[in-house]
Parts: sequence; C-alpha cells; structure tokens
Amino acid sequence: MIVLVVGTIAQRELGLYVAQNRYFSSFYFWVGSVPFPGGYPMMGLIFVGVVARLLAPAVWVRQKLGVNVVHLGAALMLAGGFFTATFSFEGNMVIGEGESADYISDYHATELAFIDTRAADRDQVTAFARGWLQPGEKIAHAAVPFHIEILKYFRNSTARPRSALPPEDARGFAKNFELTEAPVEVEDERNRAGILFRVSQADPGVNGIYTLLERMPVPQTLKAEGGDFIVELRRLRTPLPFRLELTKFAKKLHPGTEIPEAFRSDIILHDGELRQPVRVQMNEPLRYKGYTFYQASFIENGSQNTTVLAVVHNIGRVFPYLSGIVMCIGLLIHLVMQLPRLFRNEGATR
Amino acid sequence: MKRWSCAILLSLLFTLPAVGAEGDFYAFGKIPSQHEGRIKPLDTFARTHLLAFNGKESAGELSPSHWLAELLFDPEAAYKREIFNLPNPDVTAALGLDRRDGNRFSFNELFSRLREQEAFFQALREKESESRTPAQTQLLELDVKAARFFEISRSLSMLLPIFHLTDQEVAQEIGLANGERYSYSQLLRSREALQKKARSGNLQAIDFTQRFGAVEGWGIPDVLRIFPPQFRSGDLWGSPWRVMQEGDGSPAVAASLLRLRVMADAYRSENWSAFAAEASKLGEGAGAEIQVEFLYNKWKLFQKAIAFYIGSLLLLMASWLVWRKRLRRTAFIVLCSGTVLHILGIAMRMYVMGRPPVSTLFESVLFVGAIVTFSACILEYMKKSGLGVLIGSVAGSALLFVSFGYAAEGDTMGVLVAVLNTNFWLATHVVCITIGYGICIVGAVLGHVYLLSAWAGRARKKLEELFRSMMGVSVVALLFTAVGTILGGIWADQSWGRFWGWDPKENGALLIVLWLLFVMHGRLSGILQGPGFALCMVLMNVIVAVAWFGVNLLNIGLHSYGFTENIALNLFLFCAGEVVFGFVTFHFAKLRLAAAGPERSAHFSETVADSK
Repeated sequence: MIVLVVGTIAQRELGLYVAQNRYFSSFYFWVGSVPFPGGYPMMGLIFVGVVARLLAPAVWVRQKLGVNVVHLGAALMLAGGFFTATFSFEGNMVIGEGESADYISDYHATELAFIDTRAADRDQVTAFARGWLQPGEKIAHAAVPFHIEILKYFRNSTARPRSALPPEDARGFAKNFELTEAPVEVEDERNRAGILFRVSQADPGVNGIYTLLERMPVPQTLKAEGGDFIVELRRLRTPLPFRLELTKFAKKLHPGTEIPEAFRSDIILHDGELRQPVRVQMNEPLRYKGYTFYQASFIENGSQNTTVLAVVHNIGRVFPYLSGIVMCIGLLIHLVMQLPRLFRNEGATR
Repeated sequence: MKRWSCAILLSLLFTLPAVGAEGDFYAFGKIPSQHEGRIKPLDTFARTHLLAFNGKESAGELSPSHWLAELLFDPEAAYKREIFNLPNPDVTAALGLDRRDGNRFSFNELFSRLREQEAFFQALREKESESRTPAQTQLLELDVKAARFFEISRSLSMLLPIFHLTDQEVAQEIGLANGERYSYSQLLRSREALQKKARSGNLQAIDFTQRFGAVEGWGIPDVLRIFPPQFRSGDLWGSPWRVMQEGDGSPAVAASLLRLRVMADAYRSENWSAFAAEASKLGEGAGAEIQVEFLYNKWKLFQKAIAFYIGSLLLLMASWLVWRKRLRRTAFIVLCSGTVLHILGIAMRMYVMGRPPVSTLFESVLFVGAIVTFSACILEYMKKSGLGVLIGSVAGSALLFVSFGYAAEGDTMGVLVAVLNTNFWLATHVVCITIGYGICIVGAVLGHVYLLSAWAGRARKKLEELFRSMMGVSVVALLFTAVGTILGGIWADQSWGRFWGWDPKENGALLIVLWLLFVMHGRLSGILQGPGFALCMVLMNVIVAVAWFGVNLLNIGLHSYGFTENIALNLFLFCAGEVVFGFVTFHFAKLRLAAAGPERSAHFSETVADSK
C-alpha cells in the first residue's frame, strides 16, 4: 500500500519535471511557494516501502514469488542508486595531442590553487575549494607562506579594463582590470568563475588585492620566502593514480557528409613503469582502476586536436546489473504463473 | 481455411506491381551511387531529390528514375518540366511568379528570377535564421534546391552531344567528320586547335570555345558520385567530372564513361532497349542491397499495408451489420496480410542498411506499428472476437499515417551519428523499449474499447474479458519497458560510465514504467477498478506519446535524434484529445455501471479479492 501511495506521488513529481535534473538529486524543491519532496526522500520512501513489503511475512506465498523477486530487485536498484549518488564522482579530462594529464577536472566546482615552485624538480600544490571560496573566508595554511582573505567570488564573471585609478593596494592583474559579475549561463561549462582576494602577512610589495579568473592565459605569481608561488583559479582537480598521454585524436565522417561516423582517441597509459597503448572511442570507453573514460567531445584547432574525455568513478556500478537480472527473473516467474490465468477464457467466447 | 489462404496469396501477388513501360529505366535506377554518406541506387537518389523539389516521389507521368535520366541526359527538357512545388503564395509573390494549378514551376522559370534577386537573397542569408519568416526560409531553401537541381543536371554535361560541327574548315583542322554532333569530352583534345582557329576569326570555333567555358563554368558538379574510389585513398566515391579532372581514371572508369556516352546517345535517339542494356552493364557488380532497396522503393509496402489495415477495419465494421462471422474472419486475414507486408518492409530496410530495425524516430514509428498489429493478430487469433482486428487496424493505420509524415523529410535510410553506430545496443535496448511502446498502445486501445463498451452497457461478461486482456497486456508491456529501460541504463554504463543520467528520454522511459507500476499497484490494492483501470490505460497513450515524441521536442540530451516543427501541436492535440476522451467516457461508464446495480460492482470487488 505504501508503494502505491509513493508511486502516485512520484508520478506527479516526474510528470511535472521530466526534463529538470536538479529536482532529482535534491531533498526538496519549490513550486511557487509550495515545497515538494525531491528525488532523495522520494526514492528513500519507495525503498522503505519496498523493503517493508518484503519483510511482511504474509506476502511470502508461492503465488507471489515472482512479484517478491521483482520487489527485491527494485530494492537492490534503489540501494545501488544510493551508493552511486553518495560515492561516485565524475569530471572530465582535456588533453591536447602530444600532451598528457593525470587529474580529473570537476564539471562545476572550482578551486584556488597555490603552486609552490621553489624546488627545481617538483611542484607542491595546495588548493582550496568549495566552502573556502566564500567571501569573508580567511585562509591560513602552513604550506602557503601568507594569509588570504576572500573578498568576492562570482560563479560567472568578466574582467574589464579599469576606467578609474586602481586602489592603491591592487596588485598584478587587478591593477589594470576590474572584476564584474556576469549572469550565470545555463550551460555550466561556459561560466567563468572570478575571485577577488587580499594577501597579507607577506612582503609589503606582495601584500594587496589580487584578481583571478578561470582560464587566464597568463598565470599570476606571488613572491614569498625566496620563491615563486603560482596562483590559479581553476576547475577542481582530482588526482589520478596514473597518467594519460594523447598521441592522436581522429574524427571520421560519413563520406561526402558532415555527419560524424566515429571519434577516436589514441592514448598511452602511463602507470608507474607501465606504458600501455589504449584507445577510447564512441561506445567503447577505457576502464582502468575503477575509472571509466569515455569520448565526450573534442576541440579542433588547426594542427593540434584536443580530446575531451569524460571520467566517471562509480562504486555502485554493479547494482543495476544485479537488480536488472533479479527483476527480469521475477517478472518472468510472475508472467509464467499469471499469463495462463489472464488469457484463460479463450474457450468461453468461441 | 484453405480458401482464405489462397485469398492471402492472391492479394499478396496483386500488390506486386507488373513490369510496365517504365521497365526500361529499372536498370538505370539500380546503378549504385554514393550520396549522403551511403551507397544507394540511383532510384533512391532520384526519389530523395524529387521529394525535396516536388514534395512527392514522382515527376508527373515520369517515374523517379526516368526523371533523373532526363535530367542527366536531356537537361534542356528537364529544365522545362514543372517540378518545383511552391505552395506558399508569399514565395511565388517574392519571385514574381503567377499562381497556377498545382503551383509547380520549371527550373527555367525559377533560374532567371533567382539570379535577378541575388542581392535580396544575399540579404536573406545574412539575416539570423530565427528571425526569418517561413516564406523567407522557404525562399532560401528553394535557392539551395535550384542550385542542387542545376548541379545534378550538369553531372554528365561533358558527355552530351551538344556541339554540332557544321564548318568544314574546323572539321578538317581537328580531324573529325563534319555534320556530326560531338560532346565536350570528344572535343577536349582539340581544344588548342579550336582556340587557334577562333583567334583567326572562325565563327564556329569561337562559338565552340565559348561553349567550352560554359560547360566548365559553375564549378565541378559533385553530387552524382557513381565511381567507387580506384587509386585514391579513402572511401569517397567520385563524380564523373571529378574523376575526369583529377585523373582518377582507370580502365574501368573509362569503360563506364563510354557506357554513359552510349546511354546519352541512346536516350536522345529514344532507343530504350539499348539504354537499358548499357545501364544494366553499368550497374553490374552492385550488391544485393542495391537490388533490395530498389524493390523497397518500388513496392512501397507501407502504403500497401495501410490500405490493408483500413480495408480490414471497414470489413470489421461491415461484420457488425451482416455476415458477422465470415466478414470478421476476412477482416482478420486482411489484417494479417497487411502485417506481413508491414514486417516485410521493415525486414527489407534492415537488410539494406545492415542494422537493427529501429534507429530513428521514423523507424521507431514503423516498428511500433508492426508490433501493435502483430500483437493484435495474436490477440484476435486467441479471442476471435473482432477485438484484435479493431485494435490492429486502428492503431496500425494511425501509426503508419504518422510515419508518412516523417518519410516526407527525405531519405529515411540515412547514416547514423557516431553514438548510435552500435548494432548491439540498437538491437537490444531500442528494440525492447519500442516493443514496450507497441504493447502499451495495444493496452491503451483496449482501454478505449473497454470504456466505450461500458458506456454502451455491454454485458458484464464481455467487460470482464476485456479487463483480463488489459491486465495481461499491461503485464507484458511492463516486462518490455522495464527490461528495455534497464538495458538502456546498461548501454549508458557501458558507453559513458553512468547508469542513469536523468536524460529526458531516460526519464520518459521511466515515466512509462512508473505509470504501469502505479496502475498495477492501484489495481492490486483495489483503488482502481474496471473503469478506473481502463482510464489509466487510455492515459497510458498520452504518457507513451510524451515519452516517445515529447522528449525530442526538448531538443536536449543524448537521445534527441529527431525534431519536427509541427509535431508539438499535433502531440498536444493528441494528448488533449485522449485526456478528454478518457475522462468523458470514464464518467459515463461509471454512471452506467452504477445504474446497472450492485450485481456488476460485486464482480469487480470479487476479482480484486481474487487477485489479492
């Protein structure tokens, strides 16, 4: 009975929001001023309903075997969904031909990274993300030899040449350019985050206000403790335990048309001493150490092509397979047991 | 029953067209060519272009192949043929053309007007596409179509005998017999001699050299690609001009060009048997796919199937008046024959394209139609009540009718984008989910029938029977949609590393599954009784339509592979109509059942208790 009620509500919700993803992975959302339960509580409720049904001893009779198996499968699927939602993450990798990368960039979140370049052969990166990037947040970290105070942070922004004289303590890029907020684009990839922060506790010439945007062509550097610290605002990076090098990206068109027939990235996988040639193409992703890399997009730029691989790391991967099989078995059992009964009246109408 | 089998055979034979006067162009229509990324017979090439120019797959009294032959071998005649369909009065007004019956205009009429208005067209092109009026968009399309028409017409211009040699002096100079007609390719080697003669003031030589320029002008026509690559790398076929200019000539190509020249002469002298003989030699070695596609074009099986479906519906209706049993059986057999043709058509498509039955929206409509009529045939076989015939003929013809709307957009066997280039998943997930759609539609039509019968006060027993069929169908539909949806998730996981992404199409499929689950749970819990259940099945149609066509309107996501402008309105009308129908009939059915007294309602609670 619970299942029925929940099913109805889920219907109403789904019917209203077929295309709007953000309602599914949330706890609640608003329609006008009326709060509606989001995807999480909805599925939780269905899960409770399904499990409750399975726990009720009255339903374990022979006739209901198939149906019960189906419900078991549904419970498995919801559990898998929970695992996926909680523990998986995804992002992308952008690699130009001849270049390599060993990290995943997040689709949405940004980070403020400080790269300590004092050692000749290794860089030490210290990055701050999410909550750290709110205005008013103060950052003091042992790996960074100065204090930082976030003044402004915009999801999407543009930099304009200053029309008036800059504030006295503006440094670097901030001297000539002014950060302004821009309306947030629907496609998140096109947003260009911007940040304004104050550095203190460093040399007087270094202390001051700095401005950063995503994808700035020239890096900003700060001098401290006898070395250069590069500071960047970029998409949140997750390091990979291995490295991918793109040797060639190829696009094949149907002859005489502009319709793509196939995309392909030839890649060399570097893992420790291992150098393994691999290939990623449409419908044929690379799977390695729990990560899945699939061909998502590409950038054609004269002589050098750049591939864009989407990366997913998903622990709950096996659940849909399991539950799918369980549900199919259940449905088949049920069908075999029920169908003759449903179509039985053949003789009666002849 | 034997008699009826003979009837089927006869009717099948009847649908195979007899070889007629157009037979002379069959061999020509079977010549393979590469167009829009795939190898197809010239017949398809001709039909696709006729559809674009004329709005239908024929050119007046000419067959598509005949029309193409005329365009290639006798362009002068083709330019005069009224072949461009301009139904929009704004378009004809902008071109300064007078309206006429049928609103078809010849290339000659269009050409000068398009050229005169070049500045206007340039301004149109620079305008943003969103801000163009429909007429402006059509004008631009017409410009492209006319250019394409002209390009095709010049494909074999170097082979056409358009140079009439009448000057003895010139003939002597270039060593060709006087008084004959020659083609560009024949005179090409004498070009320098002609130029020299022209400089000395010979009028014919001047005329010829000028016409050389006219033949060569306008760029290389590259649409008609009929020569497989010989020495070049890649899989791009060559057009006659391209092959000649880029020196990709092999002995095979030279022989083919010679054949085309003989064909040109044969066409001009109306020697059809010689024309057909050369064409069949040119088409030698074409794969069986080309043959099958040619037959597929010619037979138009889906148009025949729809005729059968409608005929079956009429027979069924007649059976309600007279000869109850006999006419019903005939209707069943006619439905079966239609289904056979329908499935044969799909099978031919599969063979030609070498891929599973469903990969575009058009194909999904065809396939769902076949599923619906096929399951209706099974239902009729089991129940023998006329119900299956009703469902199959109504839903089958409606779906085929919808599919014709998509077929009007051009070649329906086009190549696929990279992500869909996978036979395995097309064969499993897509087929499974579309079978699910089909069975859902069967269930929905049953719902309609149930509500109408209840309203009409049919006997309790009949309603019970209908109800059981509905239950059975919905269980099968749930099986297919659920399995199909999960398979889709697995495809997504295999290809993109995620099982579920809340893509609109995924949500649409989930919507169907959830609706079926809801209906089923409602039934089991006793909240939904006969009419309520039937109402939900009627609404099922709305859900399927939204999940199937509606999500494509959003034009986002991985699955949005088809977009038609008119579809939004049609879809809305369909959904609104179904909702109104459902609730009105539900209301009256309820009233009728309540008026019938407790006996009937007792039955429903009884079956509910029974199934619990």
